[in-house]
Amino acid sequence: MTPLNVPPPPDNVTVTVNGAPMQLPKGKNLLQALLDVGHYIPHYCYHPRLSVAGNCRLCLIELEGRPKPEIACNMVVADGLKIRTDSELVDSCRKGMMEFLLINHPLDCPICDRGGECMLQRYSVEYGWGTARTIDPRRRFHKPQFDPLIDIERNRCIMCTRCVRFCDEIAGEHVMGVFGHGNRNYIGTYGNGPVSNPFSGNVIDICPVGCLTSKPFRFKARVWELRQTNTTTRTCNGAVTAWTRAGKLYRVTPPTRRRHGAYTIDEDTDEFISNEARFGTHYANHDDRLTTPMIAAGDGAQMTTSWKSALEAAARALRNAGRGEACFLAGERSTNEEFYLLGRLARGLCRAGHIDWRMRFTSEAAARAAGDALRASDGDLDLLARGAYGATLMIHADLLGTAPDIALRIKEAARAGKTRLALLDARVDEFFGRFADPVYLEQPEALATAVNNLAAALEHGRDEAHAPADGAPLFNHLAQHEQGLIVLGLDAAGGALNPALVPAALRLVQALGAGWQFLAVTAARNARGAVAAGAQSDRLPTGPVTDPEALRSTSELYGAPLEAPEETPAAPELLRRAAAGQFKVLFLHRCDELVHHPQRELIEQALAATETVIAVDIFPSWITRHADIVLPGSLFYENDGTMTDIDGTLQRMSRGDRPRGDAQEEWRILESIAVLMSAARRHKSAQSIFGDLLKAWNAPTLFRLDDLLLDPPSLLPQTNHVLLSRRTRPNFKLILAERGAQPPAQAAPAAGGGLRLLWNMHSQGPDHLGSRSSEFDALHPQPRLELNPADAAALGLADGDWVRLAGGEVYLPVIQLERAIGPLPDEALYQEEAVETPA
Amino acid sequence: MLVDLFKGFAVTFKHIFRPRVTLEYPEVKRPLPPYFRGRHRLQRYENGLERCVGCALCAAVCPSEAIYLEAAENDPANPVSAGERYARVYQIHQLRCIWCGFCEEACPEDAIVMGPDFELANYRRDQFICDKQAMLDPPDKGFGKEPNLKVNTAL
Amino acid sequence: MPQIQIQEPVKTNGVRERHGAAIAELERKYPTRRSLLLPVLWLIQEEDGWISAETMEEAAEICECTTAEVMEVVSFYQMYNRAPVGKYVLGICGTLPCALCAADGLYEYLKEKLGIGWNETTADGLFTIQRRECLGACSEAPVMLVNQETETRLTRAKVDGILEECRQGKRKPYFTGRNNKQ
Repeated sequence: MTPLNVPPPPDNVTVTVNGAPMQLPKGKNLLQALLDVGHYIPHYCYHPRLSVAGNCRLCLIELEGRPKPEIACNMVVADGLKIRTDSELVDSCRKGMMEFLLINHPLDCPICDRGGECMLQRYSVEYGWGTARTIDPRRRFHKPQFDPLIDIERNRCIMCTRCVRFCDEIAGEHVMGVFGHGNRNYIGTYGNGPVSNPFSGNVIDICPVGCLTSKPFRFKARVWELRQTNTTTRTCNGAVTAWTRAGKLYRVTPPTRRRHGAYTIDEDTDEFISNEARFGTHYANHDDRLTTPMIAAGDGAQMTTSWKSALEAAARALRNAGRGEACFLAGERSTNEEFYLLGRLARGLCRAGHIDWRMRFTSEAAARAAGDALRASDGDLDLLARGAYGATLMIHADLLGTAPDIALRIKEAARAGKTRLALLDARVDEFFGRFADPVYLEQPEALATAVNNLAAALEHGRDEAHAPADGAPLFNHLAQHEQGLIVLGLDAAGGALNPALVPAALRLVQALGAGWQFLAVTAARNARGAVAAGAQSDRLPTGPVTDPEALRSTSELYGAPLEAPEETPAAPELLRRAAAGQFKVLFLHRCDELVHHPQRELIEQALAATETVIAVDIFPSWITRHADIVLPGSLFYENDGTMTDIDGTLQRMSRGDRPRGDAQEEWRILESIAVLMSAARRHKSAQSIFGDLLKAWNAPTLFRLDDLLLDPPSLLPQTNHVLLSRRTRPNFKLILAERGAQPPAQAAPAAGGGLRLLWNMHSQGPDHLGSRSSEFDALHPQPRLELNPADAAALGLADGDWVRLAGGEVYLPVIQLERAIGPLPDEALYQEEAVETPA
Repeated sequence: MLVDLFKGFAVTFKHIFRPRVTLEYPEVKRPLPPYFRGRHRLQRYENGLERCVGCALCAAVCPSEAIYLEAAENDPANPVSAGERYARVYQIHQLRCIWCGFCEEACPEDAIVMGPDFELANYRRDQFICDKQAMLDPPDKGFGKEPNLKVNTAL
Repeated sequence: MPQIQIQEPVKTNGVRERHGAAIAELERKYPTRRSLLLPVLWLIQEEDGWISAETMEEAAEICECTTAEVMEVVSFYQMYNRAPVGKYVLGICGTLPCALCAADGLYEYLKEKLGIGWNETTADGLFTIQRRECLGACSEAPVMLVNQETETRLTRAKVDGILEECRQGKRKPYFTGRNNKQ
């Protein structure tokens, strides 16, 4: 693979700051450049990832040759600038501006949640007057109901408009605004409604004062009392900081940085996290934790026991399992270290034990296709942010629902013009729709064919003459760029991935040439780690299981002899075999996705048919109640390890608190079982396990496209014509009533029909962890039906109408929820009788 | 030698006629200076609302980490304190406290003051952790006789 | 095949129905739909006298922007009314030159005569007093805007005359349609 062309770093020019010449990058924002080299310049409205507003006037600097001071945030570095940031004039400017900003600011720091991390407090200490010189009463606003998660106190606002720009530029829509005029300005949303986007929590962090604060964290603790653990969650990509006290989680924020001598949320934080990561992690405080090991006591009862006896029972069961009779299912939210240890337990210490992680997929073919896609993933979102990819095509990627943090990064690159975004999907939302061109809508079954035809056309040549009749704009979009990224969503259909889509997308990447890269996106948090650490049936940490060299090097790492397996069944097949009673031991490691799995009956059979079920989990569920040995695990701030983001970035999970009760870190549990099973080498820390993994991954990049063995005859459908249909720009609207509204008492039947229902499952939805978060209701509004406006018009439907599906008295919200976690037929992409999108 | 003896007795006799300094302690108590730093008291406004808004500055400044505080939001219909916020839990560990009075100085609402009570002896260690109610409405005699003292396990 | 049951569609305020032709004309004049916002709001206000929440939502759809953006515009400009007004809107200039020439007295006089204060409407629905920013006729202070007409060098007698003309219906009313009071 040829290296991608990354734009060269900018030239440096000489700028004199306070009499000292220094080299700064030409054309860069002056304020940012000065902050980067360590100059202290107070500012409120400037934010590195937002546009320049220039309305706080606090970053005034003195510029030689200008009669008046200038704001640094609205200037760029140019050759020969002579600036002063420490003169008396600058100081008096800052003092004056601070006095202006404080004219109407209430003196309620003792009750303000921002206290301790407030920029107004900090700058007041440096540039404040100490006493107010105004005699007029302060302006007062009433306090509205605002957002279920965000509290607003407009009296404290200094009109920096960071929140407004964040909603407008980063999160999607202009939902927040500056209302009113002159000194009666205030911020808010239309009708004081909620800040309706999945990243709204970030306005809390970027607010430099106490105007927007977190409702769940409201008055719970002062920030200086909390312990900060830089870690990553088990549910979302990216790093976070967990703020805890005495084992209780108080809040989750983007990673904190050391600044001005203290760790605070950086006011210039360049990381934004989704509401899922911020509020959806509050399951940590749920009382319902498993805190002691338990073993079955007969008659379906369980009794608590000591770690020693529980671990010994587990080791004994695994030792007694015969050849191929132990099956390990590794939850997709396990750390790389846990995956590695599970692989070692299954392959090295049990005789030909099975291991796989792909439980999210309901069919074997889909699971295998997902594994192929992840193995071939080599796209890099950092390269995207630096503008290395000229074009990006997203195929069937419901990113906002499955991986919001990734969605934000891709959209930001598209918005900033770093890449040109195109969409090919069965459903398009406004989040990407506004920044994408061309946009193609296609029936979900036809997506694979469409992609295949595009690839076939590109294989013939990049000339426009080869473009498929219906998809010329998309063809040109791809063919014009030497470097680009194909993003493929693996779970837009709620676990029933169309297996033909993966080889089609990979063929497209190959047809586009070496400059193009591929990124498979799934809500499975550590899917990349599972593939890399050898928790997939056909992968070892060092390579595919069929490779003798990989077998040799892995057996060296495991410290146990390995043999090549005859077959490599994925999780759906393993579950089927377990239900048929083929295993003696079923080891379920943090299998959150099984709790609300569509194939519940199959799993129930598997639990009943297996002699010993060992479950590692943190919350009780019907699975742990069926298990023979229950081992309590740890939370994301109680555990050491690493997680792999969907673009291959490694994130560190660190232990900041002791696990609650007698619970243990998972790697410790797995290592203890391994030690009890044999005199195996012992890891004394998660770092030493990671050391093994580093040895295994002896490469700077984890995966390459070349690594994948395509099998075109069996997987690629033979098609001759392109099936792309160009439509007008999609504009889907919500159709169902708001939360709390009642369905109509009388609803007349409409001449509807001809629609199929597509499941659009949220990444966390009503799942094992997320549903235990106290903010679950606010984060996951009622299920709703989305319709194309043309279809809605044909059916005479308008926004807010209630719709009832035929064959039941239940109105849609409930139906959708039940169906989403009810059984889905094997191998089928969508439910037959299901409704939505044009026929 | 006799002279020395009388000199000594002179001192003794002088003190016999001086006013007595020793007090019959439990019955009679020594008057305390106004700046005396005894057991903490939480103040109320005249309308009965608590002055404390639960800002936790006392806990932050406390050198021996004797103060534990959890705030909560006031119910506007039935407020506890004068602000939006009030101290739901306020505990001071009397054995950790070094009676420095920093909490009093840090308080922006003049809510916590050091009172005149100094009779703090008790038989049980857990009763030295005094909670908000005990400081808002101090018992007349001694400390720890009130039953509403809880042990905070989080400390 | 599932059958779908529905409810009556929600009624809108009918901005598109009432002003469809005028909006189509505007579309021709402006480069983007967003720039239609001010004139569309004027169309609404000229007919209704004020801009209700429903019309704001519809204006947002017409101009392809968010309701928050419409609200920003409506709340920024004083001349857009967010509550129903009387048939004649008396806009008293509130800036310095007029204040020096006794604009306060003008307000006091109107208040006394009509019995209403700032942003209030008389019981008969005829008059509303509003405060205006500078009307650009500072040399002719004090200035008052009666609906869209500027009245300058006001005296008590002149004000009486204007009020009388309004009462007799000699002046053009502020809005043409129903005054949508809800």
